Order: sequence, then structure tokens, then C-alpha cells
Amino acid sequence: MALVLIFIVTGINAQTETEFTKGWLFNLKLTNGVATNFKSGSPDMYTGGLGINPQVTMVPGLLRIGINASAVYNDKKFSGLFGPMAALKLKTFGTENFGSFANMHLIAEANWGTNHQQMIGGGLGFEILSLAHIGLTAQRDYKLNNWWLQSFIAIRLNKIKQEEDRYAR
Amino acid sequence: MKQALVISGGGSKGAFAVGVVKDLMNIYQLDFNTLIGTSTGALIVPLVALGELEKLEDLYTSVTDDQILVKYNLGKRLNSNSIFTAGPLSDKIDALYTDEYFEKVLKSEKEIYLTTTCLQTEELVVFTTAKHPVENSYYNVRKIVSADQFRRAILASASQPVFMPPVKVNKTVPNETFPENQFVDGGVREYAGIGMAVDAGAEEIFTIIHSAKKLRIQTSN
Repeated sequence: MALVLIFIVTGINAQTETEFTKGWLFNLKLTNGVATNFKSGSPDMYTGGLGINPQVTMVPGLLRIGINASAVYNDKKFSGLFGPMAALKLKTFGTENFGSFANMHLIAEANWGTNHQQMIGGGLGFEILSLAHIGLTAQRDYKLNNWWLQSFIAIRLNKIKQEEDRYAR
Repeated sequence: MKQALVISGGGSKGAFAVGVVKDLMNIYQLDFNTLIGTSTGALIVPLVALGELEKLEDLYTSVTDDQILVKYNLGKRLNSNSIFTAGPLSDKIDALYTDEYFEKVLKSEKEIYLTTTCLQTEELVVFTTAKHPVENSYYNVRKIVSADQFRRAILASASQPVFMPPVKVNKTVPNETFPENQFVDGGVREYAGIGMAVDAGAEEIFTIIHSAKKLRIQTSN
């Protein structure tokens, strides 16, 4: 029932929706943060990484899914991190008459690492001018018993298809 | 007596012109031989030419911005020539001004003038259904040769630059020298084509201007 409602609502808004539009995007993503267990007296460990984050819109105006694939540095080791992610649009920022310029979305993600990391978490992201993403995430590593608290910035690498009227072509 | 109707640009204020035209035609029984439209006026005058006032009223009382323009995330339009696209407006123009409608306009011998501005030559270009249009050094006159060119000229005249994409009005004209030339709103160069009505030989000119007069409210202390 909820799904039907979502599709009805998004169907109505399809004409005017300017964020999370149909299609896909390919992000280059840079992450920075700390890994901590909030308990031990030892300092939090720096963690940073660079990866790719392709996403495809599943429900226009509402939901995108994608994958994370990145190389991260943590605890004096390099690891590969891979996993699925989803983004749920919460709010569109825009002008009344001229379209939108950003959106805020909720992120859910899970990652498996080459050094036994098994993480699940999420965060809050902002997509700006369909070109850049920034945000904060928190992931719980339930295998190694710590938290990864990270900020990220991502740049869209794939070209944006320009819509053109038939009489303008 | 040759009577001309001139309607200026003004976007949604065109609804005001529709009301005035209805009164002029229904109450005062005016029948215009020459119709000159700029921007929103160019959307109106082809329907006025054949007395399609109900369609006109419907167009200006039921259509919203979202039904004629497509909005985007502004970042997606950084490399484009307009903030919006106007596909839905094109569709409405196609539906209203069919090939049959264009033929009827030609048979009616009503002279329609649609003002546009050419981005390449920076000239004011007037597209017309008149059989023998008068030339003028201030503007360029192009006779409309097909229904497709007619529809493109209407859309071009209504296309405010920056906001809506320029239109290649002559793209499908056979043996056209510059088919890729782009045209936008005639209001960029000429807000209301009153001079064109004079050149066309009109003896009575009815002009509807959409610019609201600024009123100064005086307060007494």
C-alpha cells in the first residue's frame, strides 16, 4: 500500500521534479574521518579514502541505489571497501520560479573490507547543482567493534545530458 | 476600413489582452484584418484571426507555468542556452495551430505578423502570412511558407531569451540560406509592433499594452 502511494505521489510530481531525476550518475568520492570505539584511552584512528560511487535512480524524485568501491587508509593499513548504498531524498532546495539547486538526502550503506571490516550505517548528504555531493556518515563495524565517522565530498564525473527542445535543434 | 490589432509582450498578462479582445469582437463587433503579436501577443493573434476566442480563453485561464515549461536543477542547465525548456508549450502550439488551421488562416486572408529577434543578425524579424508585406528598413519581413514555419515563428516570438531556448524558425524551409539561425522573443527589439500596423496600411489601430502603469498613492497627513 505504501509503495502504491509512493508511486502515485511520484507519478504526479514527475513533470515538476528536478532532483533525483531518471538516469544515473558516476561519482568520484573522497572520504575523511576517524575510526573510534568511544571507549579506549587510545586516540581515534584517522581514516581516509578515495573511491567511486555510481548510482541509478529507482524512483524519480525519491530513491537512488548504487555501490561504493573505494581504497581506504586506516590503522596504518590500506584496505578495499565495497558495498551497496541507497539514497532517499528528503528535501529539495530551490527557487519558486527557476527550478532547484540542491537536495538533502538520507544515505544508507553497508561495506565489506579486505581487512575484515563489516560495516553498516548511514548519514546525511547534500547534492549541489547536480555536480557535487557533500555529507556526513556514521558506520558501525560490527566485526572489529568500532565506529567510522566520516565526512565526504564527491564530484560527478559523467556528463549531464542536455535536454533540448525539438524546435531548438 | 482596415483595422489592426496590436498586442504587446507580457507573459501571463496576456490574459488581460484576451479579455479586451473578447469585448472588442463581441460587444464592439470589430473584425481585424491585420493582427500583430509580440511574445504572448504572438500566441494570441493567430487564434483571434479566426475568432477562436473560446480556445484562447481556455489557454489563458487554465494553463499554468508547469504546463508550458520544464524546470530543472540549475546545475544541469549550466551548459545550455536556457534555464527552462519549452517542450510542453511546443506541444500546445502544435495542437492549436495544425496544418489545417494554417490553411484556414491563409484562406481567410487575415494578415498575421509575428515579431521575433534573430540572435545571429540581431535584427528584428517579422514573420507574416500577408501576401504582399511592406518592407521597412527598421525590420526584416519574412513570408511564412509552411505550417511548420508558422508554428516555429509563434514559439520563437514567445521565447524569452535566457529563460526559454531560441528557435530555428527556418530550419525546414526549402532552399533557406541560413536554416540554423536562432530566433527569440520579438520584444527584445520591439515591445509592440505599432509601426508595422501603420506600414501594413491600417487605418484604425487597437493596441493592447501589457506594461502596468505605476501608481503613486498619495497619503494625506
